[in-house]
Amino acid sequence: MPPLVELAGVNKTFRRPGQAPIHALNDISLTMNEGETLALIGESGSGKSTLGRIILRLLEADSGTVRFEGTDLSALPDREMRYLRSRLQAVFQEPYESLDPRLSVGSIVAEPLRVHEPGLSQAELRERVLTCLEQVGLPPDAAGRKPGALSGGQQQRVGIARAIITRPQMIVLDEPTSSLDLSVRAHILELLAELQRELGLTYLFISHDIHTVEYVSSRIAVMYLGRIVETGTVREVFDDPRHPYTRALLSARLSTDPRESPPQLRLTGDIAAPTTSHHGCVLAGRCPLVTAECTAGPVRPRALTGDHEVACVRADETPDLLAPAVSR
Amino acid sequence: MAPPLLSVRDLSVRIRSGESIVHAVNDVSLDVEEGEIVGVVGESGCGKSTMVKAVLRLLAPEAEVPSGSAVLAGSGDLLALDHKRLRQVRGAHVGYVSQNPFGALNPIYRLDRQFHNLVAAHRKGTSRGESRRMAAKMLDAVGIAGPDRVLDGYAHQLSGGMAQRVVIAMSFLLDPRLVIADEPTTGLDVTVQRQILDMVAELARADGRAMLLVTHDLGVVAQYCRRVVVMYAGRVVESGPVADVFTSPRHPYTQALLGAVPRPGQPLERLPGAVPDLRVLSEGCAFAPRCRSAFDACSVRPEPTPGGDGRTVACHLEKEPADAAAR
Repeated sequence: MPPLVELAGVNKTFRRPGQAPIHALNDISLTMNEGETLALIGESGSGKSTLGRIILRLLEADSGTVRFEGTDLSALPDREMRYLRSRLQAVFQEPYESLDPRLSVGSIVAEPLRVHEPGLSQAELRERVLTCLEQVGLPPDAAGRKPGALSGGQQQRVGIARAIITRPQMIVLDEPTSSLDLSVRAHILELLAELQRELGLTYLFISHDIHTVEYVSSRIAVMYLGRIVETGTVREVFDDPRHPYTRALLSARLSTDPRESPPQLRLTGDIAAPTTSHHGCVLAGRCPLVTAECTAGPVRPRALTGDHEVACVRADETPDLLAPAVSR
Repeated sequence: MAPPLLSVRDLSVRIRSGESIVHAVNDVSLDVEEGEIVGVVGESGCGKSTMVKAVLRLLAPEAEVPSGSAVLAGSGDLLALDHKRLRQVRGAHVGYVSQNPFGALNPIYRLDRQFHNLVAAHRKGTSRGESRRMAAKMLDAVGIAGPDRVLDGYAHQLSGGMAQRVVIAMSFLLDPRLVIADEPTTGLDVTVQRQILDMVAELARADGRAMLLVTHDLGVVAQYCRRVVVMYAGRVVESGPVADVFTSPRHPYTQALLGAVPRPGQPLERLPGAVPDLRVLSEGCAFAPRCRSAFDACSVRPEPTPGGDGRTVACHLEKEPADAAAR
């Protein structure tokens, strides 16, 4: 069985008149298997949202291939792409901004069905909408309300209902809980887990929140400046991060247990501008382990044990990189 | 023992909203001692930002403060100062860092001039050269390499992290004893957040200074604050040393909040219901409708009760633990 999603050598550069081009994605290769939750983690400007949009084909890659169930999406005629869109849905960060404030919740949730299954009768549409609202934990009378009358958590439930109504195989979740309060976030995370179990969904979970990523994902891809620097199962990456960037990122996480203040790896300087092109490793300018080899040429991901891959020539030495603990 | 650097007592804020009145902050009391960082934590709408804006006298005209005091050692009750005195105190004795650094910076003046205006407002006759030396030194302390380039530029040329460093440098410039920071690192990337918090914590604890840090991020409180004040529906529900409150929370809301932090392999605590409507002042405990331990006593509002161990909890379970456990 081929992987559900397979990206090979994907590049994307945004060109702006009179300004330096932004290298958003560089040579991205990634696979996703059916039923898993793959988290894309990285800081602002790492390219994680661009990658999500390329998989959704809301953006076209400049080069490279994106396959969904073995089919090359870039070669697909519009008609078949429309069908594929129903199999591949999205939920975005700001629920309110992604919902049309003038439409009722019922119309918003029904909209994808009107496009993808135009043959349905009004009664069938209504039935499917009500089932979906129930699946996401909204009362039937929510269908008649406007998004502005709902709380942030309820709005995000509407976004999720709209995503599942076409019975997709996969959902790209782009920071779905980042704008929600902690107690609301817990409900949404549990709902997503429940829907995944019931409907056999595959999730691409884009997030910058390390606590959430560790909780929800089965596999992780760490992005930095348009490249994937490390991939592996959640335990491989969290228990034994091998890219110096991954280690810096994970060690910057603040534990909510005051007794735990693990040592932190600090990188020097700030993230380079995405307009910079890098001949070698993208972290070379900030990395404490940098050697001449790091800037001599492209650093490709190499396999460690299991599913663990890392794009670092000195990955074996990363575990020695630790800084003293923070003082209270 | 010296009196607290900041002592807030029975502070309430009401905000007019159309025909109704929102009881945003109700009878909040807290202390900040020299050399410590006190965290104020809670979810959206709990009143934490409104509370510190009231202390700083930065509330919008729709808001009024019917009761309370906020005594800053050496400066008196901030809520009772006349405007002239308030201007002298704000900036010089108490600094402020808001969530949006760009809102605190003037887009049309070079930063150099903004630093100078700040210094000159409090120390008349300070020369441009002197204020620039002070600014450069402070920018260096907040980790900005090449302060001169920043001082000769404008706010819009800065990244979010750099802009927040500049605002922090301004807030500490005149050596205030207290800095109030409202979500200073929200919206910043995690590695930048750590750098800024480390830097702020070092400044805030030095030389008998102190900080009141408002945040929704429990990790920030756990790692940087000595004491914490937990707010719900405009009231303090629990306060005490972080080392105790976060490892053995006593108020059911504090317990639920800590239980909602994702931890691998552990089910998430899911609080039922939603935050109450603050247009209605409830007579009982505001958390009771969502509380799994609620019992008949909760129809009367519990007063914050000091436990003698530096902890205060506003919950009837504190008085009748055996009684409640039997339910």
